Amino acid sequence: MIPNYDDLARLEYGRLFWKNPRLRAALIRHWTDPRHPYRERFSEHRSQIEEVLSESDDAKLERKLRRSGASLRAVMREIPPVFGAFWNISGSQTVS
Amino acid sequence: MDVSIQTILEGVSRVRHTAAMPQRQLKYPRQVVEWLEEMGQRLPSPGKMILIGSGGLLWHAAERGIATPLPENSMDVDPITADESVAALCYEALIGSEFELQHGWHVNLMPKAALLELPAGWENRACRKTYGRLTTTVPSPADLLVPKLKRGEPRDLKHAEWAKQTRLVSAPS
Repeated sequence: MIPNYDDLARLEYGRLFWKNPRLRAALIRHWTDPRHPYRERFSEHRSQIEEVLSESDDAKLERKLRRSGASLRAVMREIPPVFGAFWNISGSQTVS
Repeated sequence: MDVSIQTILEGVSRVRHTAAMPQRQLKYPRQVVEWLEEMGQRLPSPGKMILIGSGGLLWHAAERGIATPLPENSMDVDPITADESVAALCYEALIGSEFELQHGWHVNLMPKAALLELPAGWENRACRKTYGRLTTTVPSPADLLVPKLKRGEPRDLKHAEWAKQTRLVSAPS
């Protein structure tokens, strides 16, 4: 099966940023921004998304997610995209 | 939720309240080099990236002094990196960013799985160059074309033809 590179990229770079508190905060701020079209969906799946971004052992993660009826692939798809129009690392208000 | 590129475009449109399609103005080799030079100056510490796709082809053209524009243009460059600082700069140039508005193209960070589409041993045939604090690895033109030819989409085939015409790769005998 051809991998979905968009999903994989959101997971990979989300995990990369998640290790840095400043970048992690920027992602959360972005995904919960009133302008983000998927902020409600993020809120619904937030705990699983944060778990997936925090964990690097995918086999262990998959086992854990499966026990709750989920899967890494499914949660990966719920990681919201980042929109360049209002992505901001510093947290200052951007003009879009 | 299928957060595919289409979904992102729809989201961008909703964010901007306009019919926002990504711009497609990446066509000159120097555009890629100028971007790499700027990244290299702005990085706070040494970082690395691998550049694939049409951005990689344009890089090779620039290295050889070729100025022939890419047919049908491209809308993005496709870097891969494990460096947080490199990725952070790339995030400033995503679809819908000020970077895209100013330059007419954006950065599309790719997962490392994309490298699996390259032929085995691509690292040995790749070129490397350092711009300030940024070290860029670019697979050979022939290796870059393998996934494009496999996809076989019209734009990919035109890019492959451009690579032959500019002699980045040899035409089949």
